Amino acid sequence: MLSLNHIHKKYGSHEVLNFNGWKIDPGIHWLKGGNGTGKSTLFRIISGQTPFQGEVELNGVNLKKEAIKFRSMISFAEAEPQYPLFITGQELIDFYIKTRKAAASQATFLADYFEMSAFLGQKVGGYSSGMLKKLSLICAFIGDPVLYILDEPLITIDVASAEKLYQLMREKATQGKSFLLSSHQEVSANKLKLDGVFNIIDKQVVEL
Amino acid sequence: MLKLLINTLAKAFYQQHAGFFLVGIYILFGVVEPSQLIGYQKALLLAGITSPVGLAVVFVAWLLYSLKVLFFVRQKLAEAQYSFVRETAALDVKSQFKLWLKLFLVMLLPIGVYVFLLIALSFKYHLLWSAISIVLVFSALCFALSWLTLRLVTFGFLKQERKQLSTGIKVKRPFFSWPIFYLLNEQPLMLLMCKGLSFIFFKGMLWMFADVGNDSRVVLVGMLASVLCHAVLIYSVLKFDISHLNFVKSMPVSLLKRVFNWLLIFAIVLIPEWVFAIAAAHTTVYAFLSVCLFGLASLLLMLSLLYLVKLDMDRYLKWLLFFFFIAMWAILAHYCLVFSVLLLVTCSLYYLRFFNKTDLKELAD
Repeated sequence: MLSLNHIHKKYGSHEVLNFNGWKIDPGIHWLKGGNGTGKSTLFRIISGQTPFQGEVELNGVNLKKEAIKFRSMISFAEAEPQYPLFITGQELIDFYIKTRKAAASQATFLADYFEMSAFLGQKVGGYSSGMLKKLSLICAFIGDPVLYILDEPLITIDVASAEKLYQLMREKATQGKSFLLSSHQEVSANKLKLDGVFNIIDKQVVEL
Repeated sequence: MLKLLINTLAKAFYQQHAGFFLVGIYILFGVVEPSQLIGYQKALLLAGITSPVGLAVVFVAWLLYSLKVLFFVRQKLAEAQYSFVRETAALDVKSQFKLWLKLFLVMLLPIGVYVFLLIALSFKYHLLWSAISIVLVFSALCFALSWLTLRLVTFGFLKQERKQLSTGIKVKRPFFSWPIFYLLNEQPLMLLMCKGLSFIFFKGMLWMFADVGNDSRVVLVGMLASVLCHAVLIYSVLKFDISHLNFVKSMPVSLLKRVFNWLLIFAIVLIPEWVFAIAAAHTTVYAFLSVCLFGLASLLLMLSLLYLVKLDMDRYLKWLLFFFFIAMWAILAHYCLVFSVLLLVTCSLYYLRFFNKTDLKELAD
């Protein structure tokens, strides 16, 4: 499904990632690793946010050669989402609906599901960090991508919301969707059936 | 601490307002032949001190510049990376006041130079009241800026929440318009001052070349001065795009649409300048088209330059200086329309080619 070849990424003179190949099959995959090991950088590479050397392909679609098609197949939720403070949650969701050509009813369901409907008319600047994270998760689940890339999806959200997120991921996984997530917190097997656990050690992605 | 404040706040101020200073330097030193420069400067200074109206104009200009400095400092102090400045609140009030006074003297240096020249001329021509009022106004500005900043840093936590004014009218803001609303909501003063300066420089150019008659090149020179006043505005909008709209990079939005969005934003930002141009010139369709395209192309060039220099203000300034001379030559040689079209195409191609190969967020972080 997702394959990365000859990946090389540097920030200035500091090399963050350097590996020849990494492949994952459909399923739920957890990327472990301490601070500064390159997890977020790897996610930013796969989601087309940062330039890199090498090739990234998802179901045969190359990120560099077919950027728009590739991006329509993925959905990325950042660890610390930043949105314009003056827009409302609903305006942001409307943008996602339009760009991802999704149905408005899907966003309404997700907003209700994460108990955010009452706050969508408010400006993002007034949101707490947990509300902001939930808004980013709602946006991430809008549309019909093949691969969801969730960077630290559990930070700042409450226990009940985390349970709901697990439930939603399980449902999507049964529909054939794949997940690539990073988390400092342990993902217990009774909450999510993991198909792969990886770690970044010495700039290489290693299966555990 | 003073050295740190100068290296951060003052340096950032001069870097971010490079375009503004560039046009100012051109008006003060570049519009006359070198042999007439001293006479021109002396005439300007004398016009400022020999009449109450002249003095009023000088003081209003100083006040505007001081407001620009004050709001720049306030804006920076609100940013997380300047939180270290709050450590100054641990000093006693007298030391804090001295610290801010010294910093503002550095930031008001362009005015300070003229203060000395104006005082010297006032004494030479026995204009004692002018000299006294210059000293009083300049001192008042320095003290006011220092006191207001000291209050903000030390007693800012006592500030009452501003009441939100709401008209009850809900405006639907499409994605492309978010940078415009960013300027209106979060940078209103910068926008206002940019437009104010743009108007002053535009009118200044028309006034300077008033003897030329109905030559469309005069309007284009005015437009050149106006667009250079937008250098910091474009920098600020791009920084907003990098920090708050970066999530769009992982969404299926085509690069062509991005370029089109930028052009739409620039077209909206330049509406006042186009109104000035139409009002000022008994313009033909050709001249108006030239002004429109030149404005759009210039702002797109600034955006591309910021990508090229990776947000490095020093290099941005050098490129703007180069652009200023080339654009002036193109205008004077009647090549402005061709120049604008070429610039528009080249910058669009540059953006399409290099957008995905440049990650300004990693540099900004």
